[in-house]
Amino acid sequence: MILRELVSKAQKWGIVLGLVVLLGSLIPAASLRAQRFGPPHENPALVRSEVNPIALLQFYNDALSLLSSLSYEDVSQMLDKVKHVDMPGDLRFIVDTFSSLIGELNADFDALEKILAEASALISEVQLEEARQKLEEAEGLVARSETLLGDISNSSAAFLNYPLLNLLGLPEGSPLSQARQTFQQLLAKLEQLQGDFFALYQSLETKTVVLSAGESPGLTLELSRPQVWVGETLTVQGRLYSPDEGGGISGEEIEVLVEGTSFPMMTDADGVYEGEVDIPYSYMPTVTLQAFYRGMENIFLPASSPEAKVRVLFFPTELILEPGIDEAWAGDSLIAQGNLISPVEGKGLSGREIEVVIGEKTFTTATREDGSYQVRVEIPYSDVPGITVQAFYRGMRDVYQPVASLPVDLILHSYQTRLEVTVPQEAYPGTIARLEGKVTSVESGEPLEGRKVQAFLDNILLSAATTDSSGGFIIEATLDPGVAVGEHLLTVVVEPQRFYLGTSEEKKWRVVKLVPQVQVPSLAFVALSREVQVKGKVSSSLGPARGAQVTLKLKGITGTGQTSEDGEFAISLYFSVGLFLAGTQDLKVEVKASEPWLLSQEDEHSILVLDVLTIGLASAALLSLGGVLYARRRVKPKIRVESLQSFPQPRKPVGKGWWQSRELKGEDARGRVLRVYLEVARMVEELTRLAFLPSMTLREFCRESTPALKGKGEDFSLLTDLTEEALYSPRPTGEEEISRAEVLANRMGELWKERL
Amino acid sequence: MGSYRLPLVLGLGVMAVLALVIWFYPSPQDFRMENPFWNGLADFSRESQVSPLHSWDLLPSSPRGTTLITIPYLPFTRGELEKLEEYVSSGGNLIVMDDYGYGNDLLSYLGLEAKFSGKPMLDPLFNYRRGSLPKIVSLASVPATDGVTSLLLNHASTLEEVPEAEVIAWSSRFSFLDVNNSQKWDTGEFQGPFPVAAQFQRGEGRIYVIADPSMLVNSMWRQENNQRFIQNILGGSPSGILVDESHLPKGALDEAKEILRTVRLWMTTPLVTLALVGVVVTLTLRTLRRQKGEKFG
Repeated sequence: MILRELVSKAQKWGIVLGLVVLLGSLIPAASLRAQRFGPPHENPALVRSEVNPIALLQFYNDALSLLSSLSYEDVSQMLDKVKHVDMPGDLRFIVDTFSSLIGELNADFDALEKILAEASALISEVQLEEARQKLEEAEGLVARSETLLGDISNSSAAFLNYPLLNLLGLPEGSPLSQARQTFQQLLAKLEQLQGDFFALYQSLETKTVVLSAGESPGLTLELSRPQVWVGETLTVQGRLYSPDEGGGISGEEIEVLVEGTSFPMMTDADGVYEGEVDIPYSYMPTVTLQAFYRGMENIFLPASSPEAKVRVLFFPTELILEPGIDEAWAGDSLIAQGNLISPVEGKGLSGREIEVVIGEKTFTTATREDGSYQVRVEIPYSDVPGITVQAFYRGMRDVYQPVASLPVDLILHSYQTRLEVTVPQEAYPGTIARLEGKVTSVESGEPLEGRKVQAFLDNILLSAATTDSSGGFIIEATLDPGVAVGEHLLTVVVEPQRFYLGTSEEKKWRVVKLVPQVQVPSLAFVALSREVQVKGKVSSSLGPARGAQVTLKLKGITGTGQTSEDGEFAISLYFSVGLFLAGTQDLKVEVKASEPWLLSQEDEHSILVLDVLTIGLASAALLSLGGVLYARRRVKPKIRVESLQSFPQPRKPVGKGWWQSRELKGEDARGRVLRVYLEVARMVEELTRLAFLPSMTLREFCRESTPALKGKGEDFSLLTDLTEEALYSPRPTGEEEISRAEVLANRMGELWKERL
Repeated sequence: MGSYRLPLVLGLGVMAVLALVIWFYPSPQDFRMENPFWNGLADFSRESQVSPLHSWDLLPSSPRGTTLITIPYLPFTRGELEKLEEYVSSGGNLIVMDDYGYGNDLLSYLGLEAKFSGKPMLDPLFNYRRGSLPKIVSLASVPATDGVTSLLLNHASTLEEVPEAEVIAWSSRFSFLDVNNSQKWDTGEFQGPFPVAAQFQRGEGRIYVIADPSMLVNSMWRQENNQRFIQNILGGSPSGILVDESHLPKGALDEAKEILRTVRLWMTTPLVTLALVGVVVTLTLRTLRRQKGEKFG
């Protein structure tokens, strides 16, 4: 019965829902119709393909034109782009074939041009064997390009005969017709270009043959003097002449080489050349000269003269060095002195620059009038037992020869320095690193005050400090924020100081970045404003992380914020109304540190989220549901209760005519029967704990309750029949029916008494 | 009671279903992030994890590492332009994708000489099926074009007065500006190549200017290397990508959605939420009370 009613209701509401859904579904359609004019674009999937034949022909005309002008790179780039041109499959096949052939021809022409140029250069240098090899390569390329041109011609016919490019009745001056004409003209130009290459190849081949059969001309070289002062000029002359007839070759360039320096001269009408060459300041006893002729294309091979030698004159010199001591202390100084003399002339050389070299240091001075010199020299810091001092005169490009003194060995004394340094195991980019240490004497163990100590990271100066009276030092160095994470070389250097040598210590130093620690609460409340405020703190072992960008993600909602000076953050996440928030949730925290010593960090925390609204709504819903269920249970118990004692007392006194107290004014016989029935039915409800539902008929209620009425079930059935008769029968209800109903009601009333 | 119950329930039902349909039915409007149809940005939005920006008041205060994409089909207010200038100069990246909209107002305010020509560019050779869908195959060697060989545009325009060094992409030399919309080149119409994408540095931020917003729509997103190109540009946006929806063309559905959004926002305020809870509880208790009264008199 209930099910039937539910089905009936569902049908009714189904129609309503259907209507509603139908109306609702019209909205998007209405919206589409109501859409205003939008941006001009179209769905590419619905676009029909259109090929523009003129543009395609123009593209190839451009490519062929570039090839004709030997712009190989441009042609290659253009052909590479043809794959982006949209076209039907059959045309694509023709175009790809044609492009491939043009590409091959482009590559062949490119190679041919280069090889022929190389062959030409080799021929001009009369390297005939190498030139011949190049020309053989060129011959193969020339033949290949000829074949390719044939293939291109065939392929172009297929291309031009493609329906789109070969419209019937094409007017003579139309753009397509003009493009076709240009295309054919350019193809003809390519054939011409191939012919040009072939002609060039042939001419180079002929040259090689001619040169192979040639001879070198004769070339002589004569010197005007057998000896010359260093740096002076020397007049030279000679003759270039034909090998067979001996006649001079005029107007040719001759190069005279003097120790690598070339002096060009021209031959006159008799093939004679003459000119001056400079003798270099090499202070060698002799200098070699030789003349060269580079040859004449197609006529003469190169030639060279026999070598000629000239004696070079200059004054030898002598340099004396007297340091005056044979022992020295590192960091001390000495006076180096001596003389620069010309033994041949027997005089000292004045105004000459003298260099005194000790270790790796050089000290410079000039000679006096008598050729003597004197200079203070600082003894370098070195832990070797001895050191050499030597003087040099480098020369002044005149007739006096440069010279070096004999080396003088000095015994070198020094004290050793000890460095002890402590560095932290790890350093962090952008932070101040503190290096501490002590500098002492190795020999005495005493602290060394005033020593300069420098720290270098990968050979770049970090910072420096000076030792105090106890020899101690502290270097505070700020690391570059951009320094790479990993192992670096830290070098601490103590500078040498008077008699004390310097020292250094190298250490591997790890530069690392710290992982920021994120603290977030384990409990969060979602207020009625739908806001979850998550407060937390980001820190590291170096302290709070300032200015770090923090991103929180909770249930797909993202919020960002920055940490304060204390590393704290407070980020609000705004949620829409939903039932998902109460409970344990995964909170994803992303930290992007602004400080260079911190890494970025992603972390997940599990937090208990309590949503005031969700909990409120859920509680309200549960309370409502509980209320409804309780109410229904009271009026419609489904379970038979064993003990009647638990039921409430009847509200009406039970006895004869107990229903009469409810008699209404103007009530007819039918109404009276009905009222009696209703009172009895109410009593039955109370007795049986079965509800007389509005959806029930009298007969249905009777059938449901009869088993529970025991012996009085028949009476209630009779009363039900009597009432139905009164209600639905056309026969009028009279006093007899009333009295029968009352009798039955009285008997039912006894049942009430029994139950009590 | 029974006489007005059905129309009331029917009316409330219609309203509820309409609200649900409006809420959940995706907008068919151009460039809308929730639009899954050919002209929407659903694919781009999903793959690039972008967020909508409905008001420029919500521009991030620390814009470094963020990128804002704007398709300016509605004019900018003075306040919006000021906010945008501040956003860019503070280190935010901006992508202006326009063809025939209000992009020039923006570029001019930001002090860029470059501007959108606002004229349709067609390429009869390098295209996808039709000249109005030009392919871009000339690209500068910059990080934005890393791994990109071609782009596909859709009824694009071109850029003007862009310094050569700032250009990222050019149309082919076969392209032309179809000023008279004849769909073919006519004497007097300018021929390519034209710049179609460029990049500029302004303050600490970078501005990308692209002469076609359609390369983001679902039907264009995976065409040629459009996806790679945009993702290259967005590569420097670890802190978020925003799509400005406040300057997009709006349809009736979008306006209805906006109203619903406002209503929802209003309903989630504490006072209204409390009131709603109160109404629900009152109605429930009233029903219970009535039922009790009917049964027990």
